[in-house]
Amino acid sequence: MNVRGQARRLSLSLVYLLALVSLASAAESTWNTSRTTVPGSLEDLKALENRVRVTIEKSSPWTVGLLVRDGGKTAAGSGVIVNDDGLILTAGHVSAEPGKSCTIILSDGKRVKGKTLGRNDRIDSGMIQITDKGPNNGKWPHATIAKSSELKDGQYVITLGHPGGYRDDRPPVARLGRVLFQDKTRVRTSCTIVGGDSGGPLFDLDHKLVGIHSRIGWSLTENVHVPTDAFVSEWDKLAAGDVIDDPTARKPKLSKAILGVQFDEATKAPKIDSVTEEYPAEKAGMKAGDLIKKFDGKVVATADEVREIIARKKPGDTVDVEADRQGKTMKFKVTLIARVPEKP
Amino acid sequence: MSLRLLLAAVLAVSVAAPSHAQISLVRDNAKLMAPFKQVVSRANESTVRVRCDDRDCALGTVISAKGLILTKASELHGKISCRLSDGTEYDAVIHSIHKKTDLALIKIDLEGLKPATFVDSKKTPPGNWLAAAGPHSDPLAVGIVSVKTRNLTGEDALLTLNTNRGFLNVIVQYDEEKKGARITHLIEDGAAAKAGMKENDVITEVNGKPISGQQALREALDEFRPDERVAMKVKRDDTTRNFEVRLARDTSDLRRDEIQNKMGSELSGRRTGFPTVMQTDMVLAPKDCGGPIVSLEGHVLGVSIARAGRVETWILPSETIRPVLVEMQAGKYPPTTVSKK
Repeated sequence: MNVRGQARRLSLSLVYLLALVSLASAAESTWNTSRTTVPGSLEDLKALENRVRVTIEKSSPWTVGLLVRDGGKTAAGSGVIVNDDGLILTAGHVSAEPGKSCTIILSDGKRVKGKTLGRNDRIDSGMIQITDKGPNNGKWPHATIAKSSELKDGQYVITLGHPGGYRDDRPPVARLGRVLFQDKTRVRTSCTIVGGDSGGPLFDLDHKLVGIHSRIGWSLTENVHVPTDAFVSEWDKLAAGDVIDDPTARKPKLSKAILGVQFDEATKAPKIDSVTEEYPAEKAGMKAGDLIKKFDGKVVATADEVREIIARKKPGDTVDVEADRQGKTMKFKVTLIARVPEKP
Repeated sequence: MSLRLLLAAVLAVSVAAPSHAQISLVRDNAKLMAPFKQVVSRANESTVRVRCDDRDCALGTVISAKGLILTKASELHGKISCRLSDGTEYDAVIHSIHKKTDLALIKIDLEGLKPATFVDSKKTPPGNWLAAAGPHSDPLAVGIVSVKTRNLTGEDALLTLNTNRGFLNVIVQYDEEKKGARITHLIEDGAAAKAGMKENDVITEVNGKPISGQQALREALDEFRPDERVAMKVKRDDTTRNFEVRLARDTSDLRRDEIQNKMGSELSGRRTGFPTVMQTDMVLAPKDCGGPIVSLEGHVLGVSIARAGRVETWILPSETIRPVLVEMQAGKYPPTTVSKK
């Protein structure tokens, strides 16, 4: 081959080589956001660093500080804007009482007003609505919610929030950690959180919202967040201002007197599924399948109504019961006995 | 405004996750150190272990080949020495102390150590990796920049919460006219009360040092531990009186957020009142502060200056250290010799 041909072949090989090298470094410098193992090389460290930096940059403007009036005091927490209209996800113990006005502090320090919406006390989810207009033609910059159930143990995540409460000249504080555990009501990570962070956002490395900070345990790895899936499944109720699973709601107290029946759980109606041997109902002649129509002289339509009447009775009280047994009306006189306290 | 900070702390029991996560954090944290070895190797050569009364008390950053080492002043006490990575140990003397930054320069009789070069930190954005250089090949800790270098304002800028020092149990207000700290509230049976001091006494000197401003009393007391005795000069009505006060321990009812901050890690005694810090989520023990903190490029961006809370360790950045170093080396901050009674 002549010199020119050789030169051309050489330069072509050089081009291929360069292309290969640049492809290789392009592949090395991207962190797979669902990767569950720690970085193993300097290239890995750089790739993860790039992703983390971008995630923080993008998600800081969606992260807010919250000041909620609580009686005479003001409570400080964090939150995250999740739609154009300025809906904020936060912790249930931050939004607390629905319908109260609160202050939202944006990541640049600007303060706007809002109103608390609903919460779920058992899982600690809460919602707040910004009542001021958004800066982009009335719209608010906001996070996108991802399916928290797709998180894998070991996956890297970012926490933002205002530990210690919002501080002037301090933007949302970023922390890097990994998912350690999750179930339907909580995600646990190694991102340390502390008072003031409550309600703040947990992001995956695609800057999608996957959790809301809730509580901590003693160890630095006990940081618990509410998974976004738990918000999504109760979205409308929370947005409507409902309080779900309120532990202070009046629940029928365990009655002192007992009848000795189990009601059919497949229906609300007071249909007897079984009667307990030696107990008042059985002794009076009641049987499985009986549908109670009247209890203590009152017409009853649900098992709960029967329970409520029993709750107000004492052991030794006699109750008139009318029931339907395969089309026939049966009448019973039942003497209630004391409920034996369950072993703790 | 005193805010109630929200985070419902739970007992470990109710978190009830399986006792082992499906990943082994301990094993993984050890694995993570491997790629950082090359990141810290140069800065490690400029890092020494500082010991006080034969216990590890801080890390030191070599700043001159003539044996000058930068460290965290408030951790120094008793007999000071430096242990190098080869195990050799050298007695050290305090050359300078700079209160505001809590930096001290100590000197050992050894030449030829490699000094650290300080690189500007201000442009380093949140999310970038940071590693703490140490006396061995692995970094002592790694983490990210949580908040980029900023000037501290408000509560964080106040020199407070050095809970390891002695207390007077008073509330004071600076009196411009009498040039001292006027006692506006005396805690019953507290240290000052027991010594015979009263409300409206104006403290004008502590151990011979005049009290020149609101912070001056706090700063003066920072040097002393609980149970130490200090001499107070006081103006009461038209007379001047002298009192000897035995300082008390910190027994304040910790606010809930203070308690939460202490959950999971030990905090530095002096952890506030710095002018400028870079904040990181890396976890450093108080005795491991004072050493170089580097970026992935191996650049020394500052020295760790305090474990400040559950979520934060603070770094004193290069931009703040450099001018203080110049002044210290020029002899501007000799260690104060305090005559204690």
